[in-house]
Amino acid sequence: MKWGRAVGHFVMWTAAVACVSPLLSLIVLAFSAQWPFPHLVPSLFTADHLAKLLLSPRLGEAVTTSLELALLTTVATLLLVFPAAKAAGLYSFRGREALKLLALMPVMVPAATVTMGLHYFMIRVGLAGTMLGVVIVHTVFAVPYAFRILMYVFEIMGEQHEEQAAMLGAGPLMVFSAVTLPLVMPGMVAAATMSFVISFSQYITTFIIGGGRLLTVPLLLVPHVQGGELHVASVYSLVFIFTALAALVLLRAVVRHYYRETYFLNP
Amino acid sequence: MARITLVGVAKAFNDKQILDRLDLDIENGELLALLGPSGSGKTTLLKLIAGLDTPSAGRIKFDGSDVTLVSTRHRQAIIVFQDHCLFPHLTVKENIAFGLRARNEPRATIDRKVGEILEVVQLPGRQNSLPHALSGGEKQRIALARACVLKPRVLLLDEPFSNLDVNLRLSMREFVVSLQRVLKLTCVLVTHDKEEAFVMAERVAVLLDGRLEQVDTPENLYDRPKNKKVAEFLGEANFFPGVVADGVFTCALGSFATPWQDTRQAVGMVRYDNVQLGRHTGNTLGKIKDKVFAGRYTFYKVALAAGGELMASCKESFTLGDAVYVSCADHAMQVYSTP
Repeated sequence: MKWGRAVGHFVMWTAAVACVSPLLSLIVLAFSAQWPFPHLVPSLFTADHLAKLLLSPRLGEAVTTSLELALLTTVATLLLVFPAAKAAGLYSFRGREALKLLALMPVMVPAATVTMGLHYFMIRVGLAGTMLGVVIVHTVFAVPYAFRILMYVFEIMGEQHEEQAAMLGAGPLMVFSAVTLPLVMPGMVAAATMSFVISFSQYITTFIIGGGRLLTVPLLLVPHVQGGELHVASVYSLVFIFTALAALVLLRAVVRHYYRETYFLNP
Repeated sequence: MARITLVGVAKAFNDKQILDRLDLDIENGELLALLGPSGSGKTTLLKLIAGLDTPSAGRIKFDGSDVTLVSTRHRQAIIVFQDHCLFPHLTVKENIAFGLRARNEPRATIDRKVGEILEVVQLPGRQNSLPHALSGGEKQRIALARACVLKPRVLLLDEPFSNLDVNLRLSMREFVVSLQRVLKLTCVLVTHDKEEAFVMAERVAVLLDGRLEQVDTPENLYDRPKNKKVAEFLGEANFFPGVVADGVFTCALGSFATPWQDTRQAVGMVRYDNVQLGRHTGNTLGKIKDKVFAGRYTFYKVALAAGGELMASCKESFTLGDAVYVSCADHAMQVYSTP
């Protein structure tokens, strides 16, 4: 027993350190001015990188665009996925297994391949370089995850509560808003979180479909990483992480506000 | 409340016949039990009545008017499921008010009706609890309240007590019967438990392999099962193959009067508690082979001297190896002709 506990603690702490240490080194890097080779910590700290970036107009533009894209992608993904996941999770029909597989396709094929194919199509229909085009391509990559999550939630929920509501005389609208939606809300939050983060961290797809006309945080960040400007890249990364985090906390707060108490979030 | 009529109702899934042309009349205000083993199609029938599914053939009528194609929502037939199916995100009050809200009843009416029904199910003061804070019995009572508050045309109970422990189950049976009488509800109880069906229902419909084998009062069903299948399903029955000739059925247990005048192969059925064991008199001789004490009765396995075995339940005490005389009254022997 004692040994088991010790091993458990060791694994837990290793995992915790593995998760937090990259973030710590990012913070240290972001604020370091001089960090010569043999030193364990920088010899001089500065807030210059941060100040410079925060004052640059491109950062504001990138953050706004990233948030807009992520938000639109989330909404589009949920709207697309909800009916499909419900059908796949609850009803049996011909081609159900095929639908499940099909929904996973975009992440089974390399992203660049999918995006190149879509790019050609988008140039033809005039969506290349537009916000809508980029939202569409982000949605393509968010759908597989959101679909899986919601499908399992529907499978667990089953049809019984909806049937009960109908027997009690509720119309389709009331069944949906008073029963189905609240019951799958935890899944919706998870799927929304996933879609948001996926869109927020897209690089290659934004780059190809956006054609450089849409500036997002990853597009600002990557050249600095490649150019070896680690301090700047670190600051961008921090901005990136905290923007995403803030947006997700806000999302949960809104859901918590609308869906009473804490049944869903702490069942 | 309504009179429910099923006319030739059948249901098949992928060529598999689940229900085979059922005809059934459920009187207004009656509590009918639908008794059958699992997989006999009981729940399917309940779903057809509630409109959660449509029959492959036949008609369902409420008070004579055809509701076969009326949507679930407008049918006013409510199932209370075994796992109660309360909405977990709504309070007790909101759960009970759900159907009233769907009917757009005014708030004051809703409050009054919810209060009244909570009194009836003896759970006042639980209005603002969430379902997960309730005990199993309380959940079941709230689920009943949620259905009853709407005064449904028929209340359908799908094994509602099988998740409850024994004592609670007994009190819930009484509770439901009194609720049904007070509210004068037409009620169909689905169960696989004979005792539950007998104790609660005015009539019991036995459903075996998708066919209604017998619809009768509990007394008739127990004493005079219509065929061997029903007798076997109800249990505690001995079967004796024999022959009918000149109005007399002869088997290992003796000779018994039957209404049949021709000659035919038949099988006789005697319930365990209709077998009489005596030390000095009786039809045929046997020997106590096994004994199980079960409280009210002791079950004996008797090896007949003429060959064969039978089971008897009685209060007298015998010991293993005792020689006993076995007999059975004429009226206690049910005879079925064998095909």
